[in-house]
Amino acid sequence: MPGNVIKLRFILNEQPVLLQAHPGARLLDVLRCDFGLKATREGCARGECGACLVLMNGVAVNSCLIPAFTLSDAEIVTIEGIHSLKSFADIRKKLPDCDVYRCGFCSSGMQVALAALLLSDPEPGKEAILQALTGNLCSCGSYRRIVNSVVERSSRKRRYGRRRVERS
Amino acid sequence: MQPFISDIAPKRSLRAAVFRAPFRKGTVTAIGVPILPRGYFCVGQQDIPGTSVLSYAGYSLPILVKSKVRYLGEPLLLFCGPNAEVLGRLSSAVELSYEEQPPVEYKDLSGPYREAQIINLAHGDVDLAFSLAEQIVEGEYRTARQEHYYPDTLGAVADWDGKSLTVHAATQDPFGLQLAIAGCLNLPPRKVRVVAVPIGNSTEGKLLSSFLVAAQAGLLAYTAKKPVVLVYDRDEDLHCSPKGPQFQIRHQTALDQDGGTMAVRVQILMDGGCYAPKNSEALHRAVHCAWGAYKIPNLEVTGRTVATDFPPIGPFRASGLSQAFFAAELHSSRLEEIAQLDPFNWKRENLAQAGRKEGPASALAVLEEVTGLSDFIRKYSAYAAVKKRRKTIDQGTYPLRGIGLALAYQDGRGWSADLHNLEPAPKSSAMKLVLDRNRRLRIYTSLVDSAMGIHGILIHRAAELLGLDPKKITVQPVDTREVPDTGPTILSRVVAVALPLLEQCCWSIQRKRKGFALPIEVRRSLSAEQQHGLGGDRHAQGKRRAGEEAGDLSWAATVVEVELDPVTFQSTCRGIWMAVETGAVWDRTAILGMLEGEILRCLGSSRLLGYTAAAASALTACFAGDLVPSATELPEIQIRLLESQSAEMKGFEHLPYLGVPASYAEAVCQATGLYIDQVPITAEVIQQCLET
Repeated sequence: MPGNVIKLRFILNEQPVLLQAHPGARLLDVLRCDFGLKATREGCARGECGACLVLMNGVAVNSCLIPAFTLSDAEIVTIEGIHSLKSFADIRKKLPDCDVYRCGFCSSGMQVALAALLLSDPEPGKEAILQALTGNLCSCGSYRRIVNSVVERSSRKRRYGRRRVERS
Repeated sequence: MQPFISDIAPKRSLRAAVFRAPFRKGTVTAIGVPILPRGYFCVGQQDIPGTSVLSYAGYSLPILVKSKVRYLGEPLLLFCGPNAEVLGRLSSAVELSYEEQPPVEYKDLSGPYREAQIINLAHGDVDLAFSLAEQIVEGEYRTARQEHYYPDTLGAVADWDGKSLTVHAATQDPFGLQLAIAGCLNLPPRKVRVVAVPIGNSTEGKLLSSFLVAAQAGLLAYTAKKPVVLVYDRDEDLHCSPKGPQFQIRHQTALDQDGGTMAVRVQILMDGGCYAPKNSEALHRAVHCAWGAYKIPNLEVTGRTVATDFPPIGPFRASGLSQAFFAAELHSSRLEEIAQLDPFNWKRENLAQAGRKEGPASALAVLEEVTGLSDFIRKYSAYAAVKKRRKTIDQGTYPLRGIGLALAYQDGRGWSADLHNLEPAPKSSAMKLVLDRNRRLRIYTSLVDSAMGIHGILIHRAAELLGLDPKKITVQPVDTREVPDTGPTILSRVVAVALPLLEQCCWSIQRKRKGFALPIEVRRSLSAEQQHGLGGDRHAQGKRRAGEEAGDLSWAATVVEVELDPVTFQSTCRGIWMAVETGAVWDRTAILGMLEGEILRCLGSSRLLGYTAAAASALTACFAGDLVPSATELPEIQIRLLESQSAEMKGFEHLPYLGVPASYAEAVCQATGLYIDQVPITAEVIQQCLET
């Protein structure tokens, strides 16, 4: 790579990584180009649509706005991590299926936003889910289907859990 | 989930960049291209082996220009090479000499612009009716340019292997794209293979625009003999892709002593942009729907496309229709006020056909359904009473609330067929079905899956006709080497052309199942003439829309209720109600989901759509958040699909675009007591109306 580069050491999907990146690079570029994690998508590229959301130290952030030089020692989890890591197994079960999203472009950002919410509130209500999705835009308008799906899955889990407790 | 275009990057592929004109109008006198490092390539207009202008459905757009620049950001040169950063440096090192000319901008579209297209439509004696009129009501209505705002930006990946070109592109018309690229590279179409990737929610933005970016990528791959990835960034996409046109529509209505309509005169001006189309489907649609859904005894409509110095226009969902209905419905709200009738009763009276008392049953049914669902009449009367009591907007403590009702129809057999009919040589459409030994059905079609759920509709219908489990039916990946040409992916065209094709294939399979061993392969096609018969003749449709026969129209009535902040005039949508009659309902959940999504999109564009004539030179007014409402801005939305006797499904994707803007504007007018005659309606627009 021509020009100056900086060395970065951070944790990506629970794996320590070392990377040489251009100082002007964004976290989004690093994930997509250097690590081939293409499910994190570039939408508006100005932090408005939420298609590029990732978890940075447990908080959902727009990776198009995060400069690479701020990554030192950070812990990043992408949608690929949410779908594969054991630590997200419970959260995964509560996320909506792919067919809830219509065109699917916003789905990874939406799932990261929902995962961030479910980390702090395992059984969120409709209002909390809507608030969590404020920074995510869906040009197909699938919000209501997404919210209903998460509420249904969380409550199903709760009902199932209660039944198990009663039986025991 | 299939990858989007920005997710595709073949090994050893080159990155690409477009060098664009940094000025709005003028002539390039010299271009100095920097010395290219090894492995880097540059292509100009003189390097195009075939035609350098793309044409589609009456619209045209140059792939590259050599000297005459007509819009800011018009492409001049293409670069490709292994490193994007180096490409950026090469673009900045281009030495450009040019003579800039001031763009011509008049106050409005009625200024002395060059006319590119004129359409006239008339019946009855309008002059006589106007001379005898008791009262003449006039209004001028404006709609801004429309941004598609598809979630993924335009892009294409092209690879030339020495014999043929393979292009991956997010396009709604893979075979149209194949012809366009073949024409540009002067190759036989069979040497161009197009593989379609998902198009997102494109609102017909992946037609002409997708051709442009794919032709540019194809040119570079043909020159470099390597795979090339060209993906526009968001700014580039917003500023340099064709938009939906702006309109200015003037209505004059002659009324008799009782407030009845004697005649209507409509003048439509469409901004054709810098490459004004000479035969645009948007103007045709606007002219033939200019009077809305009502009975008009004497009518005169003149439609003009004017060539301006604004960026180019292209296909847009419901283009022409949404503007025509907006103007007709908003004008009818003025007539309702004069007739002292509420919108429901005025519409019901004026829907009546000549010689009959009753209007089209479907229209009346959707009107009655939506008014009941939204409690429209009670709310309208309450807000009207408040408006009467409050002489100025800041008087009293009443909330600024209003409610609007709009009625619209869409030709159920596919206005979008017009797009195809405007081609110089309309093509036939075909589809292939294969039922294999495991009783799994494969559908071969060039229709691309989209947010409209097109593949879902095909699967659902085939499952119903053949009695198969939908999970055993797949639509094959769209590759021009594998699938037949079914035409562009537009929902109403799917209804008009693709569904009859699918039904013919399914019936044929049913017959063959009795005597033939599996697998069974069936292919059916419709000639251009047969499709024309299905879609209907445009001028015949125009006559029909005047109110005589309306059996194959889908109807929608929309109610929007808004509340405005009395200080900032920011609007909150309290609810949207819609009743729709769209023929047979095969997949209720899918149709409701699609309509809800389109309603939200229309709400965003009614309030905040960015490209006004004034902002066109700045080209910076458009942001994602302005166009798409967020989760917390969700209003209450209730959609009622009416049961229909029809065994066939009708097109319905335009209906939210025809009803929401007008009813939103009517609601804001009632809330503020102002006559607002434009969309988008921003807080600034309300403030300006108050000042004037």
